[in-house]
Amino acid sequence: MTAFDANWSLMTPEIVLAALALLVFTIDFMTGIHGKKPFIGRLSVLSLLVTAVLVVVTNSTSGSIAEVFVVDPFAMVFKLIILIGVAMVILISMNFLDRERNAEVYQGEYYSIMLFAALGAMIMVSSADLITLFIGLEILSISSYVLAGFKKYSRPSTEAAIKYVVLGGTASAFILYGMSFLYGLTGSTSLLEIGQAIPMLFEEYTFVVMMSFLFMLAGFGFKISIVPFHMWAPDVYEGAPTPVTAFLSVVSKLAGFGIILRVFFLGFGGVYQEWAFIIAVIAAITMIAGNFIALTQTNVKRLMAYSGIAQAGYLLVPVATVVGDVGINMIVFYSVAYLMMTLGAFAVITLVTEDTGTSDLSSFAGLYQRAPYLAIAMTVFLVSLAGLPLTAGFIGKAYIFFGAVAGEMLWLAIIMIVTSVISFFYYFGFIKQMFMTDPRPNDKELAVPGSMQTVVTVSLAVTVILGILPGLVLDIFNTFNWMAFF
Amino acid sequence: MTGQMIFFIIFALIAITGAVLIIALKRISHRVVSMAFSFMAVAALYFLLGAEFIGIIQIMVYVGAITILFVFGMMMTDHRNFSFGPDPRKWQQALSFVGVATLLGLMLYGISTLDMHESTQPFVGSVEAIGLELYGHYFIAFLGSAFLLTSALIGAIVIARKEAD
Amino acid sequence: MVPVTFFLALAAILFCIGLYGVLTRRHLVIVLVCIELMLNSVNINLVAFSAIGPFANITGQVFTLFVITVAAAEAAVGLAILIALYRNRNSIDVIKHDLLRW
Repeated sequence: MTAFDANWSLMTPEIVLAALALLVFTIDFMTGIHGKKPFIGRLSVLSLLVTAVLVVVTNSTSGSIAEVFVVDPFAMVFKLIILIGVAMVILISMNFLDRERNAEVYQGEYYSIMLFAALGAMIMVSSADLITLFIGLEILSISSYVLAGFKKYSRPSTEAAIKYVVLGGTASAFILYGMSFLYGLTGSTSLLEIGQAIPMLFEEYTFVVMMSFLFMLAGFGFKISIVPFHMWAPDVYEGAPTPVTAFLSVVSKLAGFGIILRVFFLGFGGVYQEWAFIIAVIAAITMIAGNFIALTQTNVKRLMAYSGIAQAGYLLVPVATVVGDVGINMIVFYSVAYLMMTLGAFAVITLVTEDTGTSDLSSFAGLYQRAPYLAIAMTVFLVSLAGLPLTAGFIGKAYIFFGAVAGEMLWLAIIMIVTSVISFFYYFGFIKQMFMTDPRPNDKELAVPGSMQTVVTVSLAVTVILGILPGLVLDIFNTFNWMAFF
Repeated sequence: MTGQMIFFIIFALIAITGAVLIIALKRISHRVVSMAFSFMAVAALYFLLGAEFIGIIQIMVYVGAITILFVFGMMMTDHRNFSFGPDPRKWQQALSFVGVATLLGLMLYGISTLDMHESTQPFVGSVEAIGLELYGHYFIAFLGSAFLLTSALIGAIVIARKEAD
Repeated sequence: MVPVTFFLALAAILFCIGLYGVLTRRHLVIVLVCIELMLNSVNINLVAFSAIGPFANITGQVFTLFVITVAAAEAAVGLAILIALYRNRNSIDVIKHDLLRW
């Protein structure tokens, strides 16, 4: 079936989002260059929500356009995660951009580039072809480079952007180099055909297939910041505007996981036994390094970067231990939990660090007295990130843990538990600042604007509800046949 | 030794020399020129492979557009002292060299293990075939690259724009 | 005809020269040039496989076109950020952070 005879209605959400992104951009340049444009932010959020509804409506039946663009439950759930994530990031940004300190940021362009990034991520998670996948990845990456440098008169922001561009470009080159060998050995860029050819190719050219796998792992590993490809994350997270940091640590990372699963399970699934152990070792190193280095951090954004690295390690564990649908169940559940708890935490962090003007951990001093609701919500998010009971993070981690035990990787499960215990220490440092320290003398009560209130409340509700009733989504996930699109 | 082999060796040597000079030369303008030579030699290799269209695009985009872009970048920034951190120490350079050399050794070993029954007659892809693939099977990627360029365009203008105060 | 492995070897050498340049050079324009070099080596691989590989077909050349597009976009964004950075320079003209800091 060629692309032209295909059922193009499968692409409805992407087409609508693309049109709305261009509409947002057009409205922006028709309303002048400068000034605050809260309506554009609201319009962007609305576009994302409309697209999310369309994803639910149109993507519920599986199908594919010429086996290039595929729609399956996996793509649908990841698209929903991306769209909701970006919508929440934009809600956080609306407050951030209204502040006097960030007046230099062009608001309309900021929102439209964020919508383009969401579009790229959507194309990426639902493509089953190396070229389409790469283009989606690059739309996301190039938009992220730009967003990181959007505070263009702030030196840390531009420094972060240049660093991200250089290392991100190198990572793209690694991915492409790996892909070029896959193409050369199979004569096709379709992941399905590559997947069929891989077992035989592995017999014949073990070294080159492994080389191609490792090059791609290095490149994708950079995008999701796993050790040893994480060096960019702390510096970029620290320098970038805080909502962009939230975007990078949630949307960019989870979309990266989406394609890792797609490429490695679909393309390299036939030789799973050969690479699972490599992933397991990398997951172990990532959990250990991320958590231990986080202990030494005093800057909130750097701490969240290392915490994000450690979380990427937890998310990699099921990739290494459980093959097939159950493994994807675990990853998707933890992704939903990670989305909610991290974005909630970043909403609070944005509000507090922008209010005090510093991203040092001491800016959280006495938050309980300044804004009790925020302090309690933040505590729940941190407890969930650390993986204590009654939170979504706990259920996700426990699920992954039992998967690792069942997959006969007990050592990995033990490393996971030990490093989670270590993570209590740095998350507890936050909680101590909020509840046991007095606010600094000139800090007043913190006003919480409506958009922030929404983000915090939604993430709080989801984190707690999934912690108590995980069956609500797990039952749905169990009925999915994740990657069946043909 | 066939004529093709001789041309391959000549162009490969130019490409590698150009690439080494990008790293080794002192003056930045010389480095950018050696980059242009390297890219030109790569374009010649594409002609040798029978991929004329890609060769022409390579000359237009890399030798033309991107080289000019870098020349502008070089001129718009003070190109003498504008760089990442201090120069890396000797041991760092040595470590990078050993690391990259090991990687190269492994890659070359891997390539040498490839024992492929290759076609004797090169496959010549016409522009028509490329067009049909591009607008047929890879139509989504093509549309995607339109959004990629839009996003890059908006971003580059916003970031590099200098406000008239 | 020249064997495809020769082209692959050339691409591997260019890739590694580019990587070495990214890791050790400190001049920002040169670092961006080195990334272009790495992407170029990918193109050599793709075109070589597309012309004389075991499964020679047109897809490799189409892939190359996309890689060239992305390389150009990346170079443009990189230089735009470079110019913004240059505008923000203080008295010291070096970036405080090392590229590969742990």
